[in-house]
Amino acid sequence: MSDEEMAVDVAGERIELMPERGAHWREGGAMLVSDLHLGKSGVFRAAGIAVPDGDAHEQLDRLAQGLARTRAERLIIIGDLLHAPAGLTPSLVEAVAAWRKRHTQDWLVVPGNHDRRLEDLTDAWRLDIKPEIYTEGPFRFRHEPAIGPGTPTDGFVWSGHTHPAVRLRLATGSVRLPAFVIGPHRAILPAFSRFTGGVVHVPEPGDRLFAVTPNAVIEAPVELRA
Amino acid sequence: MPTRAADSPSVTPSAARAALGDLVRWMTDQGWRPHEFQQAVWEDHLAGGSGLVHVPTGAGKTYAAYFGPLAEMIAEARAATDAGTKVTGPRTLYLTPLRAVSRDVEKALTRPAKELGVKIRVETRTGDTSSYTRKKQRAELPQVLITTPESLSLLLTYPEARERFQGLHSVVLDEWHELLASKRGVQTELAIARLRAWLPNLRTRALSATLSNLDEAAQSAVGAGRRFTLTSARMDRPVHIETLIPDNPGRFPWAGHLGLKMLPDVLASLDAERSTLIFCNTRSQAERWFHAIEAAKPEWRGHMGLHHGSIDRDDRTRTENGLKDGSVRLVVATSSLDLGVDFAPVERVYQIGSPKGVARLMQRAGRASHRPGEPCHIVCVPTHALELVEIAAVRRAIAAGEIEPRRFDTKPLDVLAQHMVTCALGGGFDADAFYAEVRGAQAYADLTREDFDWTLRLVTEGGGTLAAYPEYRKVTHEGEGRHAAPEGKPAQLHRLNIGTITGDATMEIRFVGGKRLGSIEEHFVGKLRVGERFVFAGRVLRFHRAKDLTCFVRPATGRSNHTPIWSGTRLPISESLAEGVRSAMGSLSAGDEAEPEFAAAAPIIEAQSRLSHTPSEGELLVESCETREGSHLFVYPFEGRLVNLGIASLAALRLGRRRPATFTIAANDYGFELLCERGEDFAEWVDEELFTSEQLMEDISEAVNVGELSKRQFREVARVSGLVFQSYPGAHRSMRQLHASSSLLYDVLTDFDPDNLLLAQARREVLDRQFERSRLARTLARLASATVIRRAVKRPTPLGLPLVIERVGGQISSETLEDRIARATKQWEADLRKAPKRERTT
Repeated sequence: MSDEEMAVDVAGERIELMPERGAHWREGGAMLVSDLHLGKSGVFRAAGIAVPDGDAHEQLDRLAQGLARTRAERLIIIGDLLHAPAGLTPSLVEAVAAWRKRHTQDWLVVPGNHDRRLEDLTDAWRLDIKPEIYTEGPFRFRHEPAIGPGTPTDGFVWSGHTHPAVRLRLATGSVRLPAFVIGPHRAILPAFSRFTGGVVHVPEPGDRLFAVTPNAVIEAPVELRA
Repeated sequence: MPTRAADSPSVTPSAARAALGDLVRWMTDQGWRPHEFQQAVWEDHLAGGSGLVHVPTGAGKTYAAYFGPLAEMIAEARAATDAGTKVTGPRTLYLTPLRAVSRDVEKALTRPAKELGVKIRVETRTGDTSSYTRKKQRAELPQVLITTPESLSLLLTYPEARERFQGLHSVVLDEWHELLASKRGVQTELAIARLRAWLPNLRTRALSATLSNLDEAAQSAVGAGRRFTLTSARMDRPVHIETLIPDNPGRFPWAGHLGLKMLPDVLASLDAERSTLIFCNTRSQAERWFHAIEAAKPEWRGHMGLHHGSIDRDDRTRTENGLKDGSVRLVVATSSLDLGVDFAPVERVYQIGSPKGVARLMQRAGRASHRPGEPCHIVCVPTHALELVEIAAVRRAIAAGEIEPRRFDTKPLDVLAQHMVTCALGGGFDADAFYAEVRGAQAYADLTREDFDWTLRLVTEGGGTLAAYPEYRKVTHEGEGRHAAPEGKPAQLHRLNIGTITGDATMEIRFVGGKRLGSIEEHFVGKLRVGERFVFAGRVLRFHRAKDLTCFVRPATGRSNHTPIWSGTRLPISESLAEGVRSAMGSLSAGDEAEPEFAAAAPIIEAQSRLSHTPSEGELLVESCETREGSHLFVYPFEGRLVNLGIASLAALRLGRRRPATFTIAANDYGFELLCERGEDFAEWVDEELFTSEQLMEDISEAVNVGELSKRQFREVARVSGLVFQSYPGAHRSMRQLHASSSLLYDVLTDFDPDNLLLAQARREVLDRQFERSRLARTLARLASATVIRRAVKRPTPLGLPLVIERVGGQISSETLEDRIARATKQWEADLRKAPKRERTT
């Protein structure tokens, strides 16, 4: 599978974009993900909408696969690990806690707008909660990509939040795929959760878009974008 | 047989009969003679019977169904007056498919009793009813309640529902043929089954237009296993079909056009003094015709109206009333006017474009001056040459009495799930008794206990295959089979989203700081640029801005060719018509000139025969051709667009198995096109094996999965079963975390609950509706035994060209997504190399 990854140069670092919807920063020994929205299906059920369980388990399996392959020792979660408190059922908390016992990597969490009650899970899930802007090496990690006034502009920013997608025109049919957005000053990760919608990313100057297909990451040619 | 309503002991048979006598006298005073069929229905009703009345529009079916119940109500009201008491509660429920019931029904139902000096409370309750009136009605229902299936279901969600319907003795189902073939009909059946469980003597009378399966229609109205009376009136009027034959049919626009080329002919034949109805097949076609006629004849503007489903209700009512009082003499309309009470007859009726079906054209023709016995006349305006053949085929089918049946939805579990929540809220139910009650609805007569229990689990436990989800509570099991639903957010969401009508997301369209014009699809608005002009509701408008769910416009001057395209409005030609077309094609190629349209169609058919071949019945024409676009394969089953599309998907899948390829599919009412890379000629591979019925369901399901059609169909299933909501109560913020598109849910269910019966239902509905499954199977059998005629052609033939122009279909591929992206990229690079002079714009 590893040959299906896409290696790109980001701020002088080699980054592998993974079909699991994460990025591998080899130099930093870390796998980067964002927008897991754990507990989302539970939030739906609590509102009387019959969505099956299983999204969390699928994500944990995919994480395990990515971590095993990259041998990353750390997981940097760039926000929205959780969806909403209503979905944080005891069985979900327990399932993740059990998984954390088997997988010993460190979890660094940069909080996102959905991450309410994150502190309650610090012990059970062994979370290392970071500030909203967390700096490491040449990178800054923050959940929302928008760089507002007063935000330091030095350093390359990694973020999530928008669940970027790209639409490709193939013959007459078109497909919409989750995408990595890599620009000159910031990168946006696709949502790690598959139970999320996405917004077709409107590229800014210098942006490269990488589509995630079921088995590979492919740079989305400008000509095929709808 | 008991003739008395459960809760009206004061009505004696003789008093009801006396009241009926008064009603008959009242009718005679109006100058109307009671018809034999009306008398038969009244007798049947007073004897405790239920059934279906089948008569043409305008023959007096409303009073046929209504006077029986009304006679009982009058008798009861008189007895109450004598006893010094007051009649309370409902007696008759009048259900109509019209979402916005016009005042006319209410007037027609109020008048007779009023003029006899008896006070009967007749009221309407729909989504548009004011909250004051609703509140009053919640306290006490009127004696006659006119309402829609949705409003009835909503009434059933209140805990006092059973009490409130006490005393009801009759249900009238107006325009039952319209509800029948849809989930709205199924919803109606379930609601009436509920009422019947409470009121065992409830009588039901359905009113229907011409169908070929009246028995089924009657059974679904009265409930499974119950006796019914069929009443028909032999009042059929002969239908005269006239065609405006173009001067030069050979140069006819092919397809994708809206036939405005015929505008001068239509204008020349219109008579400004005579009331005229022009039927179009789609809303955008109606907009264009209205706009074009208005531009050509500005002096008619004051007397013209436009009528379609997206136009504001008030404007539509104004048009209908104008037609009635003579101030509007020309109305361009869509099927929104097919329905409807006996609105004023018009003098002339036009049909623009394909008639699509035999019954449909008959019904439209029936709009022309309703006078029993007099022929109905309709003028057909073909928009392309092959429609000449369709028109002739309809004429022949009417002569031979070949009218389409209405197909039914069976056992949709999404509707059942919704109804379960409705009933759980509305007083709760006992599972065993409820299972029996649901099976009393004809649509669920053979519902298995397994499927029933699965649906019950869906609403009680969330439908998880293995585990119950403790956080899920929509309906709760209170022990010993007793189910109920708590009030709260889920209940509120349920009430707001009751119903089975799903549309694309629409936005309200209104003038800046002013009047509402109607509704328009969101994706059309999304593509508008500020200041861009477009046509809507017969006006040229300029887009100002979109805010929340409103599209603000300003009036504009000049002309515009930009018309919104509403989705889901393309109806395929019916099975009866398709058969007629095949037969007519055969006659034509044999030189038949019996129908007036044939001579006009002859040049096209000759061209087709010269360039390729004109198939006769029993033949299947297959054409192959190479163009710059690639290798085209054209196949013509002549079976309506949906079935043709189904066969195309199946053929693409099966061909792709023999040799991997990606096909782009196009289909229309006559045939389909498979387009693949150049140099790949599949014509030789079209053989009887390609059309085998073996593995049909498996193969079509696979093709359907690839085409993602069931994902689209799942939108409706998810909406009806309460997985996604169209309407979220006011507080958007708290609901935002519940937003999920149905396609996302489809993926989640496919991943984590693949045995979910709602997924199976979506697949079945795709097969039934998208491809008309049973018709598909019949067609395959026909094709497998057909003589295949193969022709290699230089360029698309008269039959093939419309397919090339209208290529809109999906794609079936046996290649992986990665390969397809790589191939598309390669193609792009090649194109760029070939055209180095063309500037690249970004």
